[in-house]
Amino acid sequence: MAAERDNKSSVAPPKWANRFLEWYCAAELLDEVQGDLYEAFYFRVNKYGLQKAKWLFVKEVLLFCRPSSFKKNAPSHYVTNPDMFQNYLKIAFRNLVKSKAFSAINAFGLALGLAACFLIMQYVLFELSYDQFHQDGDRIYRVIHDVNETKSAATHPGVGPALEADFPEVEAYARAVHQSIFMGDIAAWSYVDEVGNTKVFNEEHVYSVDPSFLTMFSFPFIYGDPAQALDDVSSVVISETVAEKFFGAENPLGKTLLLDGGRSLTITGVFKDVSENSHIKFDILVSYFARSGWGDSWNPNWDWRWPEFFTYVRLTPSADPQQLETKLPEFVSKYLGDVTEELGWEYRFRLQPILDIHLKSPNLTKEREVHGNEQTIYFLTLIAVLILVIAWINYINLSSSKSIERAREVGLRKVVGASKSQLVVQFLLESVLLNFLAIVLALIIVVVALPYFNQLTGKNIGTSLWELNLLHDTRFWLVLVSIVLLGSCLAGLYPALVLSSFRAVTVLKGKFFRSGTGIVMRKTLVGAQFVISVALIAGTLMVFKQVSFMRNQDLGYEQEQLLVVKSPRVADSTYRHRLETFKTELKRDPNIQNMAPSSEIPGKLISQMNGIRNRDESVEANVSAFHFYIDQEFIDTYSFELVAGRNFREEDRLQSRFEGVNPVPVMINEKLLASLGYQSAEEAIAQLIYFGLGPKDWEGEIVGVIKNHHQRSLKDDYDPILFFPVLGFSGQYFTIKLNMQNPTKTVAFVEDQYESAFPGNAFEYFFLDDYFDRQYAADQQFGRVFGLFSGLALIVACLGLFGLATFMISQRVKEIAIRKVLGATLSSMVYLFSKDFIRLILLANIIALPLVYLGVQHWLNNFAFQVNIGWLIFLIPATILLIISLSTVGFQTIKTGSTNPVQSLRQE
Amino acid sequence: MIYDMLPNLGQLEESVLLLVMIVDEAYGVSVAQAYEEKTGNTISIPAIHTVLKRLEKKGMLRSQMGEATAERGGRRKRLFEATPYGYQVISQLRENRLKLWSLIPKFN
Repeated sequence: MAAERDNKSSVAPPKWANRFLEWYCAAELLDEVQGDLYEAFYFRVNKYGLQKAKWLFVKEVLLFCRPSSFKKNAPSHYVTNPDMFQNYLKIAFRNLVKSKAFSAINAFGLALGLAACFLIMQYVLFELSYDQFHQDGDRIYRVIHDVNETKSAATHPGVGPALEADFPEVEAYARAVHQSIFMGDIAAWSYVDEVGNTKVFNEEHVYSVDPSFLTMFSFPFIYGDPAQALDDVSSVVISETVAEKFFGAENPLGKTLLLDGGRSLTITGVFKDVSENSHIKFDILVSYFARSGWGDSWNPNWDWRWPEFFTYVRLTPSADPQQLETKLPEFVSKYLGDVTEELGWEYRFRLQPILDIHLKSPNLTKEREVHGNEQTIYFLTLIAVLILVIAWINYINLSSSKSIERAREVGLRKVVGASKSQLVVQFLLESVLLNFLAIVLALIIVVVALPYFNQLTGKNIGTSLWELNLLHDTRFWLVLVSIVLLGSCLAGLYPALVLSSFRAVTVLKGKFFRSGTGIVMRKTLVGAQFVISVALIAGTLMVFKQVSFMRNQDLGYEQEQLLVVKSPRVADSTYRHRLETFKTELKRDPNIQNMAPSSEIPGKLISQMNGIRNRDESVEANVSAFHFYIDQEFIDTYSFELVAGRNFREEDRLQSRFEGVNPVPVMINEKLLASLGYQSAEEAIAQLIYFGLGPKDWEGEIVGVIKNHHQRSLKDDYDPILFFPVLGFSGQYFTIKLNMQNPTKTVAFVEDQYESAFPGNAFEYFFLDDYFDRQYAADQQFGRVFGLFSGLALIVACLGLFGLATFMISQRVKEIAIRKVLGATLSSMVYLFSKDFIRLILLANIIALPLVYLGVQHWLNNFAFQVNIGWLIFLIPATILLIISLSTVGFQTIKTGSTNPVQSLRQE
Repeated sequence: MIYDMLPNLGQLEESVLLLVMIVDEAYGVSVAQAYEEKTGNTISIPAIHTVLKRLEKKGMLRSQMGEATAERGGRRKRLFEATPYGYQVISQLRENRLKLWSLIPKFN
């Protein structure tokens, strides 16, 4: 037909569409339909051109594809016969309604599993979405630097400009530095309006940045032009929220803000609030580097001696970061050669893709935000998959065991001519229906559970269904569609095959033979569920055990009742005197036992570190030690244990630096003792050492040895620490030991004293135990999330078990009655019916526990101090599962067994 | 009275019924073209087919197979013509409309 028109073969309707039309269209309609489409096509070629005509042809072929134009009674298309679909849907619906409890268990179990899976996916997608919103994100790198073993997220201010000047691959650089470097963690911002009213707000997330910061990253602006906003030294850009706090809905461009009452800055831009999934979060950006921003006040020495600046570089599209990295050692010797030589430090610069910062950052110091952990993401994904598997297994089990009840229907369908493929399609359709129902239910659960989940994870991953980035992610829809298809097919196929393979004659005669393979299959599936449940319960137990172990372990000092106050930032010549007054005043309060200034407190990584060696050894023998400056009361305040020697004395106090003191009295901890090579603590006392500080080595004398304490969380090993008597320093901590009689009153008293001793300084305090505990926040969170989902998995598994037990018993009602008549006791029947489950649980334990053991070992390797795995994790999961399955099976057996046997036997 | 007996006729159905009466050789494509010419709106062939089928079912049109042309890939046309009932419905519709229009005060 069409092929006969050779002369116009290039101008012809799309062949595939035509073939499709001929395939579905009934022969008696083909004349008019195909004829009209052809005619319209040639007419349209002249009118609209070939492309559009073709497109319209395809469109209309598809529009014609409707039941009224289908071929009728074509046996080869039985399976897709639309008339039958109606029947399938009706039967499916009737079946759902007929056994409501069973359908509810089935759908709810699946929904719960899916909901858990969606929540995890949403969380995982959120974690993976960090920094994805920057246009050139794949070309932007953060320059991080390692000094000896310390890896730092920030580097010197000179690095950025030098990289851009030396390497053509570097297209642009931008630096950002947190305000705390200049003026403390929190600064007061104020606005005076025309009438003279003042508004003041404290802002914490303030960075000083290069003007190029705004063009390198893609933070969207509401007002102002990111390309020029920070060109001027006295300009500032603020977030939407800050703008609203100060100016309401007004456009704030051109208004002036005062920083700490002094510097005045003009607002040149307002940006949308930085989204939660950014590795750097800020509310206010100040232009600090803008051209001569520092003018003459910039000391060129700072360029390479001030590692506090986050430095980002954007490479050209063709640049290879690895190749650039290989040139960096040379770069180090060019700019930092003097330092490396003088101090014996080993410098290394690395380029870290910004997309890696959130999840793949090794523990870097100077990082301002808490970053995630790739391993957690993998773990959660694994759990999501396991939960889904459990839910599907449930579905398979419940549906296939239920299928026996439908044997008669299948038999009858076969008798009236149903083919096997038709039956498979029917049951698959039912499966799709139930899966769909479960998905709708799951989405409802997700929406309801989301606020609680946000609380649990401490992240705002979306509060309503539409806010879920899940729904805007094509990956999610792909996964969803494949879950539905795969789930329906996998879970539906087995029951469908079982059902469709019944032999009509046997079934209608009333004989059900239970196939041996069916039972084995079902047992295997239930066994697999038990394995996963055991693994999840045991895993949860171990996470909780390790976290509580870390929190309850003896830290080597008393953690309670310690109030930490940040010492004043402004230190002048009167500081030492003021400090003494403050101390004496505090001690008048009977509720205050001790007060000790120090450079560091437990619960953080000590920032200063340098080499140390025995006096009679050469520089090569240097080992690293952290520097910790303490007052002589520090040891008492914290109840540190002195292993040997003595504490610092009043006269040990260093006046200013180490000038004139020789040797400097120092204390060391046991860890450092070991790395210095002493056999015992006593041996080290009165030994002389050399330690590095600044460009010089100093001589010190070991006067005391302190027992190791946990400076950081128990994830990390003990640190080697060198203690110095306190100097007249500023910017550190005062630790105050309180009686917990009336802490609020005591804190208020301390605040009063602080303010009268150091006027003009902000009083910032916290309790040490809270501060130390914050290191476990991520682990506790992981524990809670892990626990939640294990719980959900267990519930889903229980639902399945319950359904299965109910069904099993209902199949054996007569058997139970006969047994009872013959004299069986209830307990013997409970044993008989739960015997199989008990065996399965034991087997599941044998399979799961070695796996759990390996997994837990792997996880525990993240921690320097590990809890013993213990034998409880081998016992508790088994016990929980035993109790659950015995109670479900037992309950059903007893329920059926206590009815009068006549009742069960009479009915046919 | 007559109004009650009028079958339910949609606007598109009415237009297509009229077009079948107007066009010389009424079948899917020719009606569609006439529709586009007379009303200025475009319409798809399947939509026209649906309406024609529906009108035939309501008894206002009848059809028979016509001859094949090369342009149609050798396929025959289904030619439609209005039945007497169709003419009756259309004229009653018109009368009804006129009656209603005559009742609009602003027109009189």
